[in-house]
Amino acid sequence: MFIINCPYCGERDQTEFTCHGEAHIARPDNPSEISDEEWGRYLFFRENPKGTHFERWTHDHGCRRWFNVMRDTVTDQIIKTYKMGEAKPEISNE
Amino acid sequence: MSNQPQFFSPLTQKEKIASDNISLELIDFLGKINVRLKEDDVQARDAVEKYLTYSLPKSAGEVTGNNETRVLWLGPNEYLLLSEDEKKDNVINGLREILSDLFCAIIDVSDYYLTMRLSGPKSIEVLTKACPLNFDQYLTKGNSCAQSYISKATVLIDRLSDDLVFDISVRWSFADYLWDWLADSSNEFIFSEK
Amino acid sequence: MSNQNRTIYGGKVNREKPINFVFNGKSYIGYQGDTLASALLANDVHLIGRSFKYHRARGILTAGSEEPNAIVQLGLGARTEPNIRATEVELYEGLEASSQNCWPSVNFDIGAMNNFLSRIFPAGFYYKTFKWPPSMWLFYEHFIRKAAGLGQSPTAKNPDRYEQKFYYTDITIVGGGISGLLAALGAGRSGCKVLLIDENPELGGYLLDYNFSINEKDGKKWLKKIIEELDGLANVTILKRTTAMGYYDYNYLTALEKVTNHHVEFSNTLPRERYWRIRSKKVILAQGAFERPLVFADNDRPGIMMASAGQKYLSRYGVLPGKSVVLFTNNDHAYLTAFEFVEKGAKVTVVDTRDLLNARISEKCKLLNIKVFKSYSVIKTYGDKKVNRIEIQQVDKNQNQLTGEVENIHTDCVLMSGGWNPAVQLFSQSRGKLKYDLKINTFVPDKIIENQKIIGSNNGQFNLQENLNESFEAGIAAANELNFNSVEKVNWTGKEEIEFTHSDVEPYMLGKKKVTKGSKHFIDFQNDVTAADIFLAQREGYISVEHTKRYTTTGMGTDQGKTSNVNALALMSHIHNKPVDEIGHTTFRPPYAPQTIGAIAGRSVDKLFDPVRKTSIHEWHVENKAVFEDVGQWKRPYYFPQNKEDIHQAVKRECLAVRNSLGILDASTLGKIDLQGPDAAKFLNMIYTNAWSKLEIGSCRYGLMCNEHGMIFDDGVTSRLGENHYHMTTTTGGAARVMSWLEEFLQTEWLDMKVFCTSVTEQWAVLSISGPNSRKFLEDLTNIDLSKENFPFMKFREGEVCGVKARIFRISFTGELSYEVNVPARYGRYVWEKFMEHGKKYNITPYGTETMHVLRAEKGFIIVGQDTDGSVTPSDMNMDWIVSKKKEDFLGKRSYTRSDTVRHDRKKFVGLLVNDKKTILPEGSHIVEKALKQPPMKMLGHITSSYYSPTLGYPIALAMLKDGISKMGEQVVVPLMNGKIIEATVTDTIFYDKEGKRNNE
Repeated sequence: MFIINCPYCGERDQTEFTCHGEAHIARPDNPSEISDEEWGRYLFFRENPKGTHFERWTHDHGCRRWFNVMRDTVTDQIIKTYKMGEAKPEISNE
Repeated sequence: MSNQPQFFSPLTQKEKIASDNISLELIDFLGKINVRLKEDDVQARDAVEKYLTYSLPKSAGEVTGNNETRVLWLGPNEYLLLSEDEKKDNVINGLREILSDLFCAIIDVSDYYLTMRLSGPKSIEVLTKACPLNFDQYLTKGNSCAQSYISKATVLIDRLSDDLVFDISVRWSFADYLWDWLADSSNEFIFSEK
Repeated sequence: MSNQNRTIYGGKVNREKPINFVFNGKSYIGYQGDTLASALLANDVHLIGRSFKYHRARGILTAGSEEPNAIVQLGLGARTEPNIRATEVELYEGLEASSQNCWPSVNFDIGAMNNFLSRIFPAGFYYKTFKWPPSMWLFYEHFIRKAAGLGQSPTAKNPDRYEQKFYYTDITIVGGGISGLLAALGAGRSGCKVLLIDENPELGGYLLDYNFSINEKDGKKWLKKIIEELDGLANVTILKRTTAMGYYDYNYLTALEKVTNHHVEFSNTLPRERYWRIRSKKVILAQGAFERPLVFADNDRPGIMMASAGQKYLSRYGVLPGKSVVLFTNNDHAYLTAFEFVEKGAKVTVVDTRDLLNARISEKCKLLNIKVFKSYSVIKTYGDKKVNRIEIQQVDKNQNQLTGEVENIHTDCVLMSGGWNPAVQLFSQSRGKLKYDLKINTFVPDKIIENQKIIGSNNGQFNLQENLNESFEAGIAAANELNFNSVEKVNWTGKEEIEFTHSDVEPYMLGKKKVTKGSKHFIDFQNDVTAADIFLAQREGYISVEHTKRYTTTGMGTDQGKTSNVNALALMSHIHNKPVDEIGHTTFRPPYAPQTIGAIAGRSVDKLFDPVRKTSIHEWHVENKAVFEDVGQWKRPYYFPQNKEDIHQAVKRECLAVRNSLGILDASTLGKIDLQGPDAAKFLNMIYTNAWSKLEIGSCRYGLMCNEHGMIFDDGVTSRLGENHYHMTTTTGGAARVMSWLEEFLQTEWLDMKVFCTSVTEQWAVLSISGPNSRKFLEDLTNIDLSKENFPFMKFREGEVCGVKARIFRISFTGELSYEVNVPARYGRYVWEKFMEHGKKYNITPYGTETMHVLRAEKGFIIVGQDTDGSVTPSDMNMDWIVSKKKEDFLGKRSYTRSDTVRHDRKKFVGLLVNDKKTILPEGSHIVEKALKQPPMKMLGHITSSYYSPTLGYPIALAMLKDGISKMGEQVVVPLMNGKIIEATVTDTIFYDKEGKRNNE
């Protein structure tokens, strides 16, 4: 059970939050111009890495903000939390 | 039946708790105004602060205010302004006026929440039965607030003073449940006096 | 004779305070401070229960939470609890307990014949026998469950309270033995917040049972001083009778505190148990170790127990479990117990698997007249309900076999010691890695993952002297790492009664040989797994440790193999001739020990089970005898029966009242969202499928929301209150989902869009009045001009209703002239009551959700979530009219050109009228191509909504039907569960007022 550092509220119990899957999947700017396959990729295809993963979370029982979490799926360690709109952090190769 | 419109809240029928260790009571309707401003909108912020004559809270958990109103931090672009119930329309209109050209939202949520007051030396013990907040870190002094949940109800907790006095606001529809929950959890401390 | 096994002096029980208790119907007397196990042993009761599979007589093996054998049914009536370890139950006045796994009684148990049939009960028996045919499983299961008999559940509701608690601390220390106490002292003196938890009623652990000295002084006095100091530290919290159950990531621990379990009187205010959820910056594990059994033929008889258990019964409870005692050991430590037993008057013989003995121990044995058989093994035991004789034989280590004469020893108690296993369960739960230590022949902690320390014997460190200083320093270091000041180190000198080395443990496994036919070498006592079962599993190919576990069930009992796991692994290592490290070990999972469901539920029971959301008018509905329906967490009036009406009569009356005069519905549960900002219209254009740019101020519009897959997920009416201000309504069940959906796009996708969304659901009480008389009725109560010209359909007005500031939306879900009156929640009930009073002349009729459903179905209005199921598009619902062709983009639009959504044979929304004009088709019924006697039949669709229509006088139904639009007017068949086949005609979905005149009045 994580302690999540909400970028706005600080460290809180995981049960105050909800995970909304992979982060940094932008909605295509021009849906009508892209192929079924490209649209399908946006709708259905997600990473499932062993290692660093980027996810969207909301602080439902707190400030109701969406933010991103960089988490290692092997150790469950949360490497970083950051606000929406901030750049995706680099994955360090340790 | 008189012609004056009558208030009704589900908590008016509840029996209040008053003991040395723990007290639970209903707070009368307050003016509650949801204020939304973009966090980087200096102009709107300045206008509101000028109107209120004090600063808006700057970060999570902050409460600011004066004798007439208090403002609780709800989120980076969201505040809850508390006033006397009778004065809320003035405040709403006043704010809307000074912000008329700016991007904002001033919404009356006075009936969206009901508020109950939990106080007494055992109040943190009652809360921590089902609230995951770290009370060593949050709500450690008067004029601080935090949002979290108590059992299965999302709540806004407003610590009014350095003494253990907590105003707990909850959505109207959950108020009955939350009151019963707090009363049930207070039980062991009421009787332990005897 | 009572307490015949009690020593004349010694022990910590209070002999001034006798306690009466009952076991298997017989009354006994114990003393305050006893456990049920110690009190039974004191009264010479050794047969406690029968084993799970073979129903063998079983006694008391241990003196703690690891107990696999002495498992009882505790308490009576609603408070009875099965699978309780007698070794953990503190005795209280009037305690009642009984044996499990036996019928009709523990002394004469019919199931015991399983023991003689054991050749047909090998490992994997259940898998092999009850596999086929599947239909027989229920039949088998009945008998298996009855024979297995894991105690009885209470049949009445548990009257006890269970509480929970969230707790944050700097350091949590698990285990209040010497290591835990000293770590707590080190950390406590540094000033940080410390939580010390221990599962026993008394702190001290090992030190309470064995003799030792610290700095040349009596160890027990020293212990008392340490505990006193800890009690005096305000920053240290000590929880006794508290078992750490789970260790999850981020140092999250759960623990179960027994608050009043051991009390005579149950408290009305205090909970029976408290479930702690603990967050710590640091955790120090100091749980100590469990003694390991030895494996030999019939090692399970009552009277055979762990040496450390014998020590504890003798020194803590003053109970001598036997007078003619055999100690069977492979290590030095167990000799301490032999000495203690001799001192208290027992005759002791030692059988030691090793051939070399520590000189100091040899000397003391001679002094105490203890006979030691070196390089010997116990090879078999005898005795019906208690051990009375054993056979021993010499071991030839080189040949790895038994040799020489078999010798007999008469005995009434066998103490065994196979070395110690650190209690690594929690450590392992915290993902710590283990390694096998060949010196002490067991698994010890290796790699730590969490922010944690593990100390003392829990870490495989058994030396008292080293433990004293290391543990204290670990506490200081932990505090230091959390930036608390260092405190002075202390140098203690600890001495056990006799010097010996803990690492002198010989790996020994007699179970590997088939010594005697017809006897069993138990590995797992609770699940009756023998050495032969482990051999069998390997022969049959279940070689992986996880497979062996599941095939043999070793380690799968309520004790989770605390005494058995290492022996099972050691045996596998022997069979495969591989180091134990390579065999590996199974995963430890929470809970550490069995725990009550009540504690997990906490106070979320009865009326606090789940929030019941109530509208501001709820109490009126209650007072007026509404029957309620659950809609998510909301309670909504389902219908309002009058006199003795049933649901059909009430709904018929309510429907006709709305159609003919005036009805009133509490619609407060509808989700309401306030949208403001210059981009609000642009935002609505993206969220809804239809166009919003031209909606005028004061107007309302129906909208459909789809997800990006193009599937309908919510609908509702949104009204334009001002230039940049909208009021959106959602379905009751969809309110939170819609709010989250809006925020998702505003916060993650369109960060520049200037719109604020705020939920205002509870701010407004919504009184929906509907029926041809609603205008006439409302005119008397408001200052708003309701005339058709000034307030037409799909418009919104503000004004006063009954003296209260109100918003009125002229929208309709019934097809009748309707007004949705919104007033602040605090006035909801007041206005409702005014309406009821003034509506008398129109026979105003409150109606519930069922009538609402019927009325909207007559009009063919959909209910999202009932007529749709997340797999239908607006086009599937014949709602192409609401999908904008002009808008370049909106959520879901792109998916309408996917190959799957443009298929021609998709199911479409249609109406159905049964030909017999009377059958109400059950919702969910299938429409099939051709009705056959039994499935499979080719399915064409299903019924989504179905009612008797009081307005029309016959039943109506809505359905999803494959290629339904081209089937208009055709016949379909619907087979029912009762075998009847119903014929129906496909129609359009509007059954009443097709032109929509009535709501435009």
